[in-house]
Amino acid sequence: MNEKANLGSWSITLLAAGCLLTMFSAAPASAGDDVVVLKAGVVHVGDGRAIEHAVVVVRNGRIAAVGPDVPVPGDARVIEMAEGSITPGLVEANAWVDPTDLLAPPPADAYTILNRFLHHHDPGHRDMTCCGSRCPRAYLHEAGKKCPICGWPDTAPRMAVGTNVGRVAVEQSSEVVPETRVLDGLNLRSPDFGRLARGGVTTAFVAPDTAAVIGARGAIVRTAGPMSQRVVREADAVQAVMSSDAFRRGQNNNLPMRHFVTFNTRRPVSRMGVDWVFRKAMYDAQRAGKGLPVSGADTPSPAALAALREILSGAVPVRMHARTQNDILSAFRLSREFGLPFTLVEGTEAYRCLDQLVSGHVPVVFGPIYVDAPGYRVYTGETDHNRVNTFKALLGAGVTTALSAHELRDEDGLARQALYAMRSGLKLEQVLPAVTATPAKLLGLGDELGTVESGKRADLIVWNGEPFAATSTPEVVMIGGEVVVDRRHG
Amino acid sequence: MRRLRIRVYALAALVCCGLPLSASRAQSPSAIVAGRYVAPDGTLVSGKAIVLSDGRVSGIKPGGEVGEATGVVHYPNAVVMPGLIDLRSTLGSVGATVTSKKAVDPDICAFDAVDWGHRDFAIARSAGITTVLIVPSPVNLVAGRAVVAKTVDSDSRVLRREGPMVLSLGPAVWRYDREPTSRSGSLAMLRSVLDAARRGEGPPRMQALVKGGLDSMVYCAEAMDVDAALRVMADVAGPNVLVYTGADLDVADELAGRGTIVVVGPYTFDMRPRVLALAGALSKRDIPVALAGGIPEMGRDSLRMTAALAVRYGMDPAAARRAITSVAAQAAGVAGRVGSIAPGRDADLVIFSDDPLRLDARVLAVYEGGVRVYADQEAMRSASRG
Repeated sequence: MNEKANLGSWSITLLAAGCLLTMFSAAPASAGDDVVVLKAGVVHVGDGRAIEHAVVVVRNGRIAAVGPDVPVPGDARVIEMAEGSITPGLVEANAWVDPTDLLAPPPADAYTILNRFLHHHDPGHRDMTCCGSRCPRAYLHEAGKKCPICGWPDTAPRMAVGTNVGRVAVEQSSEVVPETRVLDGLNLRSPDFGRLARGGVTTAFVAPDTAAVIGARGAIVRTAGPMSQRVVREADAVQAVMSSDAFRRGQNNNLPMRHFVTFNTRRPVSRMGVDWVFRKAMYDAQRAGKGLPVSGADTPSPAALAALREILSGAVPVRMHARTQNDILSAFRLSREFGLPFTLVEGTEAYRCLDQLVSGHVPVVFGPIYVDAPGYRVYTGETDHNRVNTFKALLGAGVTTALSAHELRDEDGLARQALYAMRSGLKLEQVLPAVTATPAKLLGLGDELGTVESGKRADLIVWNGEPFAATSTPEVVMIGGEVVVDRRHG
Repeated sequence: MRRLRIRVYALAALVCCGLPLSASRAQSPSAIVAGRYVAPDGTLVSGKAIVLSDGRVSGIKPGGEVGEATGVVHYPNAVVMPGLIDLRSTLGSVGATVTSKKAVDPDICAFDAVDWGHRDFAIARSAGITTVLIVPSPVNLVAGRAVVAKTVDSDSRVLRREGPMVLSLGPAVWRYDREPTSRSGSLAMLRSVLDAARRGEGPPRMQALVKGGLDSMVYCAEAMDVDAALRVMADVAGPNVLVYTGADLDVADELAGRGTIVVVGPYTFDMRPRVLALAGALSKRDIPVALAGGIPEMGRDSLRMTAALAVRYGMDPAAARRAITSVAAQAAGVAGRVGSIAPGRDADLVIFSDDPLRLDARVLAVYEGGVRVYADQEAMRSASRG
C-alpha cells in the first residue's frame, strides 16, 4: 500500500462522513417536534449584526438555527415577511403595570380621570388643612410646590380610601417593605400585558410603584402565553427610591398637625427624611445581624429586617430610583456607605453624573425619553432639566444602559422610545441592544433571551419594515415558539 | 236534655281526641311519599318513599311498599329535596359580623354575633333553607371561625359552633389604618403567619390550620387571589373551600383535579354572562361547585335564583341541585348530617311543588329533624289539584 492510496481512501471516508453529517442536519422534523420557520428581509441579531435574507428555524420553543442558508424542514409552518425584519423580542427592564385595569370604576369625565391619574386630591378639599380650616394663602397653592404658610400639600388630610390608593399596588403600611413582592399584587390577566405584547415586549421586569423608600421586590414575567409559564422569576431586585416619589406617590406622608394623626403621619416628608429612613433601616438590619437590639423611630418590622439582611449580604440586587442629580448622588453615597452595588433607574439628569456612573460601573435603566414629561412626573418638579439626548450621552460615555418605557404603551411604548433614541443620532445597531440584549443581561437572563441566536428562547418579533421605524409595527410576536400576536390578516 | 248534653260532650271529646292524631301524623310522619325526590346525585327520581325514624332518614323504599300505612304523608306531584343550605348567610346577625381592627383574628367566632331568636330564621325556613353558614365578615386576612346551624328553633340547632376558618384575599382586606394596604402586603403577612404557625408559634387555631386539623374557606375577589390562595396555601392541607364569583373562567385550569370546592354566587339577573357561566364552566371540569345565596341580605329566594341562573348559563341541573344541598354541606363540613336524602342523614326535607330549579315552583312544606316546621296549606291545596 503506498501513501497516495491511503490518502485517497481517507478522503473518501471523510467525504462520506461529511455527506452523512449534511444529511442529518437537513433531516426533516421528527414526530412531535414543533417547528416554525421565520423568513424576512433582514434579521437583526441584537448584538449589532444584521443578516440579510436570513431564515430563523424555531424548534420546540427554541431557536435552532439562524442564517441565510439554513436547511428548512419540509413540514414546518412558515411565517414570511419579505419586506420586513426580525428582531429579538423586546425586554422591558422597568415596566409599571396598572393594577386597576380590571378594577377601575367606569370612566367618568376627562377631568376626573386626569385627576385620578395625577394623584390629585378631591379638588373640593385640596386647600383645606387637617383641622378643617383653610390656608389664608390657598389661592397661591400650586401643584408641585409646597406652600410655605401651611405646608400644603404635605399637611392636607388625605381621603381615607380615595383615588390615590387604588392606583398604587405597593404595600403602604410602612416605608420599608422589602419582604413584599410585586408578583403578589400583580394581575397576570391585566389587559396591560396584552398592550405590552402587541407593542413587541415579550419579557418585562415589573417594578413596584415608587411610593416606598425601600419597596417590594420586582417580578420578571412574560407578557403572554400559557399562565403556567408566565412567571420567569418570582422575586428579583428590590427598589429603593431616592426621589421625592417616596413621599409623594400614593398616600402622601404628612406631618402631625395639631391632633390629626393618620397611618401616613410618618417620615419621610423631605429628602432628608428619605435618606434617614434608608439609613435607619440598614443600620437596624446590621444591628439585628449582630444580635443587637433594635429600637427607636421607624424600626423596620422583623420580616423587613430579615429581608434587609439578605440585601446587605448581596443576595438581592438593588435598584435605586432617582431623577435629579442630587438624588443620584444620594444613591452613590448610600451605596458606598453600605457596600451595595446598585442599578440606577430613570436617571433623568444622569447626563450630569456621567463620571460617577462610569467610574462606579453603575448600569442604568433609563427612560422614558420625552420632551414634555408624561403622567405624574410633571408634578414632581424633577423633570425641569430633562434633555432628549441623555440616552445618547450615556451610551457615548460607555455606561451599560437599557432603555425603558415604564408605564407608556402603544404609540408611546418601548418601540417608539427606540425611535426617539435613534432620532438623537444613534444607529439601529446601537439602540436595538438597549431594548433586547442589555436588559436581558441586567435581568440575569442573557443566556436565554436578548438575541436571535441558536439555543436561545424563541422570543421574536417580525416587523413589517425596519424595526422601530415610524411606518413599522410588530406584525407577528412570538413567545417561546408560540405566536401570541398576529396582525397579518387584518 | 242532660243525656243529650253528655252525648254532645262525648262526641266533642272524641272529635278533639281525633284531631291531634291526624295533626301529629302530618307533623312527624313515618314516611313521605311524593311524586319525585332528589337523589344524592342530584337527579329527580320518581315513585319512591322516604322512610323516617327518630328524626333521621332510615331508608328509601319503592312507594308502593309503604302505601297507606299509619303516619305516611303523601304529596302527590311534588318534589322532595334535602333542605337547602346557604353558605353565605347573615341570618340573625346583619351588620353584627363586621370588625376590621386586626388583620389576623383567628379567635373571632361568628356564633357570638347571632341572635338565634330572630324572625328571619322563620322566613328562611319558609324559603326551604334548613341550614346556614354564617361567616365573620371577610374584611380581615384571617377573619375568624364561621358557624354552621339549622334554621329550626331548637336547642340542638348548632351543627358546628366552630366551623371553617375564614380567610380573605382582595381589596376588602385593605385599610388605611392598619396593615395590609395592598395585595403584596396581604400575601407577605399571610406567608409570615403560616410560617410562624408551622414553627409552632402564634395563635393555636392557626397552628391547627396548618396541621390539617381545621378546614379553611378563602374568599377571593379576583382570579389572581385564587392563584395566590392555591400557591400560598398549597402545603397547608388546603384550602378546602374557595369562594369566587368572577369572570375569569380559566381558573378552572388551576382548580381541576385538586378537590377544592368552589363556592359561587350569589347570582343576580344583572350580572355579566361570563360571571353567570362560571358555575357551569367549573362544574364541567368536575370541580365541585357549591352555590351561595346570601339570605337575608340578598333576599329570601336568592339561593334558588342563583341555582336557576347557573343552569340557564350552562350548569347541569343535577349539579345545580347538588350545589345547593350536598356539595354545600361538604363545603360547610357537615355532609355527614345534612345535604342529602340517604339513610342516616337528618330528616331535613323541603317539599316543592315542582323541580326546585324552576322559579315557579313553590315551597309546600319544610321538615327539620323529621318534624314539619313550615307548611303552606293554600299552596298544598292548589298543588294537589294541579
